[in-house]
Amino acid sequence: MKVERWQRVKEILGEALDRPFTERAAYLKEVCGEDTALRLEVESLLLADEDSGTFLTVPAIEASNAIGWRLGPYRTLEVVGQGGMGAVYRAVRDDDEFQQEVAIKLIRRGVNSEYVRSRFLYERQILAFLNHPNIARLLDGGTTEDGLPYFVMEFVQGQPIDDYCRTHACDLNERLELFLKACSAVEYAHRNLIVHRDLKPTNILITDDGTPKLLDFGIAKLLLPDHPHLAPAQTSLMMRALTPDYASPEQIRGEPVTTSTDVYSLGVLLYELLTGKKAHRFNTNTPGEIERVVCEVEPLRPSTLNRQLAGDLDQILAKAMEKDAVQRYPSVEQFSEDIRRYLSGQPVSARSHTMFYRVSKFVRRRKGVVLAAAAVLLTLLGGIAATTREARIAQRRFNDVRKLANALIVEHDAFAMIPGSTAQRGRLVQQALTFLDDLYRESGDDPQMQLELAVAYEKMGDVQGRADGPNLGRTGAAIASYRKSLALREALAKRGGGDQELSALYLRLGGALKVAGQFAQAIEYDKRALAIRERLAAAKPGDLTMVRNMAESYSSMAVGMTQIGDWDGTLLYRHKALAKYLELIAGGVHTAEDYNGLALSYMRMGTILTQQKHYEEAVQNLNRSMEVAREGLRDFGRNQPLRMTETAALRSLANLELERDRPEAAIEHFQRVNQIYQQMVAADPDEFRVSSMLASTHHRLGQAWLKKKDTVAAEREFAKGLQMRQRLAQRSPANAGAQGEVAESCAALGELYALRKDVTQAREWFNRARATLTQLESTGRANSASRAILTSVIDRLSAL
Amino acid sequence: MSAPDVTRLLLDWSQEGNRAALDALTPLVYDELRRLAGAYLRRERHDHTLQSTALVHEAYLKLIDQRNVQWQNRAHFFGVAAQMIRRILVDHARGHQAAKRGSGAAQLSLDEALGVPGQKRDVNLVALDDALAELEKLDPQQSRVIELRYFAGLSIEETAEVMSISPATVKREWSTARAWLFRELNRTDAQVPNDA
Repeated sequence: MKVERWQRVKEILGEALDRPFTERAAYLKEVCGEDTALRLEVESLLLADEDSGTFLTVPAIEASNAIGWRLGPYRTLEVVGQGGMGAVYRAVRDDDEFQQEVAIKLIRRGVNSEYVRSRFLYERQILAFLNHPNIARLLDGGTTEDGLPYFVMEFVQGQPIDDYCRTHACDLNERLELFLKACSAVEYAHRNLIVHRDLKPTNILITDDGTPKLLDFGIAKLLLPDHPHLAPAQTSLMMRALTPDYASPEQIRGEPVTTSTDVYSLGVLLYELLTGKKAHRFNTNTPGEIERVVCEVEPLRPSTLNRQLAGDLDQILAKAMEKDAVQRYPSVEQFSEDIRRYLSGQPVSARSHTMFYRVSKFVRRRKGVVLAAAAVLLTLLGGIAATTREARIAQRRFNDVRKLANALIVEHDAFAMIPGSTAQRGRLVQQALTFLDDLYRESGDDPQMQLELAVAYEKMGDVQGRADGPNLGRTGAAIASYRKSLALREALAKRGGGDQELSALYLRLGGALKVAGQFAQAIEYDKRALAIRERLAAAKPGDLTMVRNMAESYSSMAVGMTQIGDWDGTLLYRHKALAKYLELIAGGVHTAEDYNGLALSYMRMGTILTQQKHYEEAVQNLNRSMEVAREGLRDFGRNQPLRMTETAALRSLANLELERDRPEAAIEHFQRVNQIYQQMVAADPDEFRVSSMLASTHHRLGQAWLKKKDTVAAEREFAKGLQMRQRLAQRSPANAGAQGEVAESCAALGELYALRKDVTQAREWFNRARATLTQLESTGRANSASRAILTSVIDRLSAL
Repeated sequence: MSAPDVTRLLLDWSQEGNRAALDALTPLVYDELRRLAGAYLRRERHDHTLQSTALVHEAYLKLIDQRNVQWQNRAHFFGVAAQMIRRILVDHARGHQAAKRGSGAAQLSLDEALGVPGQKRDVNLVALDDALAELEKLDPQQSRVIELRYFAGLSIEETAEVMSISPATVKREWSTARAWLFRELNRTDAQVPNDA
């Protein structure tokens, strides 16, 4: 064959290979025209390509040597990929009659340095955190005979997302839908504070049934600062592994990365999927050229490459691929939400630059802002206030701060479900609060603005003192924030809509009021929420979201009934809630919250039944509660609320054993519970609820020892409980329950001294308890438990 | 010969185009790679994780003075190393083939019986080497892409870096050359050069 002829054949072949199968014939016909020999030549090469399978895709040495090793119980079949640190093998479990296919990633010996090794183990650790249908799952891990670590993953048979779209000739909507599924996996990782940092087509495989699977967390990073056992990324070394096409400007410059980096890479990927062209063109592969192109050159407007993209998609891609991280979508969720809005014909949120851009540039020049997850927001918040004061441009400042407050709230959501993050959230929120209050004063009657503010105050209240979530124990502040949100929301609801959000807010406010001991008000808000939800559910029969809302509302009512000692009401609403949760789980689509709701319902039924001395039935409910929580934990491994519920159910079981005079069993359970709470407190010392549970567990342990007449052990536990409870009560003066618990501890110590016949000491402790309880009672903040203690304290005092 | 000397030769060749430097360099790289690759070719299973890129890295670390490293040198080194690995593997395969022929048909069929069926069967390195030589006449750039990818185990991006061309070009050259080579190796009339 002549050299010139081959160049021509190669050109046509290359173009044809880039097209879907179905379009190739037409293309050949068009480009070859009368030259039949040329067309036949290309066709024979296309056939060869189709038959070629994995020909030459595994490098020579590996190919000859990769088959048939045993790694633990697995046997390798072939090399299917290579990363920077090691190779990935297709393998089967040798001792398994089902011959399940797996992928095994094995560290590469030639580069088995301490750094690579720790990086490899870090990836394994990160994968262990992740459990999502669109992320290749970690199955197993181990070490070879000669000490090389490996891990075993789900084997994903699929095509890179770009190839898949090409060979399946996906249309625009199909491409977007596929992309959205991939985004959900990235969102999930972000919610677990994990940034992937290497999103590109070859790391998103699409299986034959069209399911995207996210792979290769080889250079991913955990955003939590307090995990010293997980090696931090060495940016300089990471750089070499990066693909410049998808790397963000901050990655190229070697700056710290946040979830925003993944937003950028996903943007580039979508750009390619929709335009069929690379976003960047590098003239050479020198670092200087790469930095210049990635950090400075704007890619061609997508619509110039594909007319269909004009308008919204142009805007969406531009916003995702902003060079400046702060200008991008604050989260993958908001990015994908905009795509969803586009698909359903709603207006998208992507908007063009504002004053904000220039201001933040100025701030960066002046202060050298470090782009680290929360730090960037805080620094910018401070910086903008200063610069805009100088500029005195009220309207613009308004928009900028609003944007930042919103960004902050998104970051806050990502932190919310991770244990150990409460104090960080508190700091973020405190700073945002100042800005929100400014905004509130200036907000006027812009409904969009008011809505954003309402959301912001609600989140603020959550962090300060949400009754059923991790919080800082600042109940009074939380109530104030919720009330601000409520004023805005009620005004908005008058204009129509927003009922669901309003009912959720009623419940939050109700929850905080219960903590503060203002039960009548709390129940009033719970009832308002329930009324709205009953109305909404009636309009949409069979809608699982409505069922979930009803369940939540019933549970909340039941808690209120318990607090005022209305046992019939409690049982009624508990039964209703339980029925709704069972309906939900039977409905098939579950969330961690559903499992938790069901587990909590069983637990509370158990505690009521314990109080009514139906012990056997109570034990059944409590065991069921733990089973449900554990079932949920299998699907949602790191879910803090589920773990809390599981532990609380065990604690209730311990209480029950104490109640029916089996102190040995009670002590055993309490000690186990104590261990768990101690671990949780160590992980997040600022979290209020766990500390409070730990204190109560010490108290209950004391009671159990007292039953066994071991006053020494009992005194030790009571004293620990009292000390912790006093600290907590100081931290949260508005928390009526916390005050009541201090009194409970005092009363218990009184009981102990009475048993030792030390009347003076006993009298002193009982009197301390009485003072606190009387004070609560006289301000109308005593709950049924506090009142019961007060009655018994008065009895004991008169008996001494 | 010490590491600084090898580095010097590499610099002379890559920066000043000194052909003699390359000639002096080649046997050094070859010897080191052959020593390292020996473990594989004898199929010492304990060393199973050593791969071609690792092989080249290891040789590079041994041979090159690390205080005087530029990517440019590394890129050239990879180029040389890929050729060397090709040489080593193909020589080994030719020897193996000769041995098989020497020991009769029985062993040949046994070997074949152990092979993985279908598309995943081992590539015939001797035939590939011949086909690559043909390809080099048609399109030297394509033959280098194959060499770097298949023999040195470089990724698309790494190959682009070594050859100072764009990854898109590498991808295109790779896929078209792969189709051509596959067809060449699977011709029933493989002995007859196409369109000569």
